[in-house]
Amino acid sequence: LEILQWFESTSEHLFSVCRSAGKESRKESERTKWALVMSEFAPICIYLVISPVVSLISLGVPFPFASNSLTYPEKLSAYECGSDPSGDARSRFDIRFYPVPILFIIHDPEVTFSFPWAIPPNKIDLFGSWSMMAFLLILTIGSLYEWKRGASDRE
Amino acid sequence: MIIDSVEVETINSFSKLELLKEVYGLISILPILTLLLGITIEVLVIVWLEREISASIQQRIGPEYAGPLGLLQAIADGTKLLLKEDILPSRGDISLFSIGPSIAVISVLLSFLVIPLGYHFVLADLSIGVFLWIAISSIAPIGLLMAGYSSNNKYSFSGGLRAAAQSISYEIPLTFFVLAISLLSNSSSTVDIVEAQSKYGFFGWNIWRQPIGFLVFLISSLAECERLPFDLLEAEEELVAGYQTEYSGIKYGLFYLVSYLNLLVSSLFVTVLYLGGWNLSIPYISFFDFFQMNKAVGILEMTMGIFITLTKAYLFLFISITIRWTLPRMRMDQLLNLGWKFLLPISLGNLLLTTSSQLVSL
Repeated sequence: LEILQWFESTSEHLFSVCRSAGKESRKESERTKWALVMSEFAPICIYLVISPVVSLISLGVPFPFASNSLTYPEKLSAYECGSDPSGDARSRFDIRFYPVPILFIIHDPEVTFSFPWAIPPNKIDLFGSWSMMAFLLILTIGSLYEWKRGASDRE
Repeated sequence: MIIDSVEVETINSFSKLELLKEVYGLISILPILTLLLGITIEVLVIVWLEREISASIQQRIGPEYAGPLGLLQAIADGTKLLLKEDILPSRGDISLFSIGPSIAVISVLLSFLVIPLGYHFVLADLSIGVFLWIAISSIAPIGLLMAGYSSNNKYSFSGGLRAAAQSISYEIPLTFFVLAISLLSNSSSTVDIVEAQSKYGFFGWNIWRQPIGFLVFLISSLAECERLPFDLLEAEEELVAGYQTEYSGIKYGLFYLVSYLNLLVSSLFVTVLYLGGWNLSIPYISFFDFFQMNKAVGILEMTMGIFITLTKAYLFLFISITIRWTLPRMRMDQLLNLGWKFLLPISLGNLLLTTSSQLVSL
């Protein structure tokens, strides 16, 4: 009976130690994780707040100083080298500007997907490289086609 | 608490800014303000430098009235622009008109987060540092498009479209070459990239391992900053300033600021990626071992790091200012052809070459 009681008491003690150690380590690991995240991203968040403030301050500063002369139509109208503006500004634009962003949209994820492939070459060995080559090959065939069709010819 | 003791140890062994960076929370506002002050002073210096160098190339005297040697010229320009009237075009979209330059400024200012001036002297040592710069610099064309569209002007709109097309066309080769650099350094963190170049001194710079990359990065970053030979948008519609036409006062000043800030960011990234960052590149000299005092060495190293980085960055600035007055301007279609048909295949080829050399050496 004594042995049993001793065994119970030690196991209880052990369990309580483990539980408290677990809680402490969990709290500490949470706190270190929080500290890591905050110390890494806090400058970014604060900078994200400060830089719009900087640009908005410089937008707001002229208000007490700038001259507010009368507004007349000639001052506010669009600038066309001195003559009266002809036609509406938003009627048409050259359609050849439209494929450029589309090509950008296609090639930009190509580069973005190349980033995780290119950084750890020792972990993905030859199989990873060849699978990425297949992806790049498909995109290269596409770009050859659009080169031949003249989608990147300008004016 | 284990964390407090670790923090106390690290605080004691590094310099003031490192201290402020380790303690999380609002205290990290002080390095940010220091950085903003540094950026402001640098912009003033760059504006003055550009005018002086342009004057020397054109064999005339540069600014000499504002302050001694004309050093306060940028402040004079900025004050003048602050006092000008803010004209809002009729029938233009007022909110977009106001926000356009702000977005461009914000995206360029955010790029300063990941530029290292020393080993622990970076605002945010992210493991995806250069990727953050690439991603954020893609936001700038949105500001240009907003500016071009919201001024109710056909020429502004066309200029804004051309500016956005030029910006996004040269981002792809730029990104491919940055990717090749991070492939060589096995990391996208800017601090790791500089550290990987520090082994062999002068011959460990990435410029020797990626010579094509250096040239193409120069070209692409000049195109991103819209400087000659790619400054079509400021001068093609020669009497009209492209997407900046309808802007007056401080909003025009913000575009001016964006141009020079972008140039500064590009030159700092050239030094970080290709020219070895803050490393003094004389190989095998480490005379700091002679000093016994830790703190003095720390501050001396910090100052040396900043000085070396800025020297290399100003080298690139000098090159780009000289290029501005040396090369003729490119036409829009020549520009886009260069970006899509010449630089993009070269960048892909370079990436494949680098990958295969890395795999072979494994």
